[in-house]
Amino acid sequence: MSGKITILIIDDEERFLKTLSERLEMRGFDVTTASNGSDAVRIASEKEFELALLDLKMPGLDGEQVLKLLKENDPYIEVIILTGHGSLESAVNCSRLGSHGYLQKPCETFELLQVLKKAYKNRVRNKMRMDEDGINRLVGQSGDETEEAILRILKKAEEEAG
Amino acid sequence: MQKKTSGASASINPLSSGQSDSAYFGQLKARLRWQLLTAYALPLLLLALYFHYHYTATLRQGIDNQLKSTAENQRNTVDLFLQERVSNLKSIFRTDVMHIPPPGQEMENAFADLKHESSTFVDLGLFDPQGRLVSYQGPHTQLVGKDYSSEAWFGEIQSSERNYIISDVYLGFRGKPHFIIAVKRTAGGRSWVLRASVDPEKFGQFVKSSYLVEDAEAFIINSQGTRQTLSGTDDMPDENRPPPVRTPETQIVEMKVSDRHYLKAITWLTENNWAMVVRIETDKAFAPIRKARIVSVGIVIIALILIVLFVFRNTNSLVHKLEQATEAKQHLQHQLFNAAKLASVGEMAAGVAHEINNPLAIIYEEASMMKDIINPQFNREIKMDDIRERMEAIIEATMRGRTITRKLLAFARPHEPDPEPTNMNLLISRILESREMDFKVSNIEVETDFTDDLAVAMVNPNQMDQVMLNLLNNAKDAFDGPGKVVVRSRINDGMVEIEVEDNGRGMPPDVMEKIFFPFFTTKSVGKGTGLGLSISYGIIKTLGGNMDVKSRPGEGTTFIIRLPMQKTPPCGERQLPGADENDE
Repeated sequence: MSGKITILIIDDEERFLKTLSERLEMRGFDVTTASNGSDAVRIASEKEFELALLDLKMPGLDGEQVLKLLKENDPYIEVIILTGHGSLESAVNCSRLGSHGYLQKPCETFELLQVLKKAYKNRVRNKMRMDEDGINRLVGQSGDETEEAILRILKKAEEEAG
Repeated sequence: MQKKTSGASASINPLSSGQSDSAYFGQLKARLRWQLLTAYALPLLLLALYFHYHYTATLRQGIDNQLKSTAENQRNTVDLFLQERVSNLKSIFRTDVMHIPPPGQEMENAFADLKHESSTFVDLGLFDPQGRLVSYQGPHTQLVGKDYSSEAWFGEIQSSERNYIISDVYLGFRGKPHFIIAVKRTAGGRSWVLRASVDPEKFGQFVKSSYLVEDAEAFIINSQGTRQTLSGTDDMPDENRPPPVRTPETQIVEMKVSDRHYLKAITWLTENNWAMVVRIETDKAFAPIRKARIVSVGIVIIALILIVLFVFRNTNSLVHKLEQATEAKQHLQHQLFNAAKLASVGEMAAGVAHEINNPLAIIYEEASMMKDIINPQFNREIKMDDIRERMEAIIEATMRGRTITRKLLAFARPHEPDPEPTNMNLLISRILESREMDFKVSNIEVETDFTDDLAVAMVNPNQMDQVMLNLLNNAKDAFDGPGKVVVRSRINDGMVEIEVEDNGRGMPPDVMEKIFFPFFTTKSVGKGTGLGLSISYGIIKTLGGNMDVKSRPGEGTTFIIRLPMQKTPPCGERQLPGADENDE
């Protein structure tokens, strides 16, 4: 468990959820899934997550409400919206509620990982009150620049900070 | 005006009953024409009638008065004439002028004097108190010595207080019509009578010769109604009527004599019991009235013709303008319908697009996963079953996509304007299916309660789709959170009834009464055009049905649509693609 970035994926499309989580696991994430909002909120209250991927149109709890509750539960969690829907209004709303990114399905894996990386950097920055230079220094030391590597480094740094 | 090519009975006002346009305008034109014609013609006729009768009454009065005054003038003239004749006679019968008995030439001289005064005198006779003619001058010398004591006139003058009389016309001993003027001279209780005969023909000439109204005849009648003078045109002495009553004022009567109508003035002489009659044929008398009548009628007819022309021209142009305006409005309405339809297609498209993204995302992930599997970097075992499973997932996802696009295509059918028999249960099901996702995602439960009977209504399916979508959207928007919508269908009173009931926030009465008005919306700016319900209402009304709403704030709203049915199920009912191929 340690060394891996924890991510909670919330989507009502079961197949999609399963395959995406597998693929992220293969890329070194520690993935937990939830297929509806209330489950997600419950899971988040039991375990700390660093990142979250959230679909908006779900039965039961509305996506935006879930976002709000997740942020209330842990303000440092970075939530990225991943929706089949998509409107400017919705994006603005979510941003105001504290989301980090707004992506539309289907989303290219490369882009998804980019956003996750940025989100994680943001989290580290906020949590450790580190600035951009500090992070770059940390990353530059290793000489490895793949996303996975960067994320690993950051994760390690965060863990060591406690 | 262009002929309408859309054969359907689309009425000019979607809120009015389904009557064809040309029939409506035809009726309107006729109604307008009658109203205007009546409004103009009636006062004209009333006024014309009133003034005509008033005028002709005045004219008539004038004619009567003229006749009267003619008669009176005549009468006065005759009165004067008679007075003069009496006076003539009296003056020659003065004691100092005529002796009794008259010697020698005296009678002759007296008669000459009389004739000198007036040529109407025929003869002169002196009668002793016993009534015997003792002295005579004139053509009927055979009368001398005759006894006149039993003659009416003799008795009358002897007994009268007046010392003269004027008799009626009679034949007498001579056998010829004449009348007499007699004066008496009394000496010692015995009266001698001097009598002169007057030629009624000459007298008549005199009467006639006085000034008369053109075309009038004048004559004299006695108290029995017998003519005393001869009139010009006919010699009928008797008038076929009861004898006139002596009145101080002149009478005017209308009378028919031997197939001719006359207007008569009857005025009584003072000297005698005679009446002066002036008569004129009514045709001639009333000629001015007839003329006035003809002129009035002519004017009225011309005025009526002008009015009719004017009214027809004006109503035609007015109704024509109305028709044009209506056509323009209908055109706009069609455009509005189309625009609204496009808007709902847009809505539909957004929903569909969203729905398609999910299957696409699945395809992406599965395909990407298979790439990952064959990527040595991940060091994963390639299991055939795993691969197969993922391929199947991809195939399933594409099938899902196909279903969605089919729904969209089913909605975007080409426009058919004419209503056709449509199974409403099927139509509603199709619409509900297309919105299924949307409702599920908003946590709204949709329940259906369809009639088992064949609910086939005469509708335009395209338009009906729009209406149902509109109602379902409104129902969905009635909730802020989860809720329930029930869609029912049934047959009632020969019509198909469809209900869309929600248990959302409902409407107060003041909102409900405006709910079908165009541009009325309870949604915030930019969220609703306010056109959906008014367009839906218009569609339903055009189809010959009606739409109603019930609502209670806090409890919910129900929209009820009633549609006319097709009585007998048609053969070749329109089938949806893929439905029941066994019928082929």
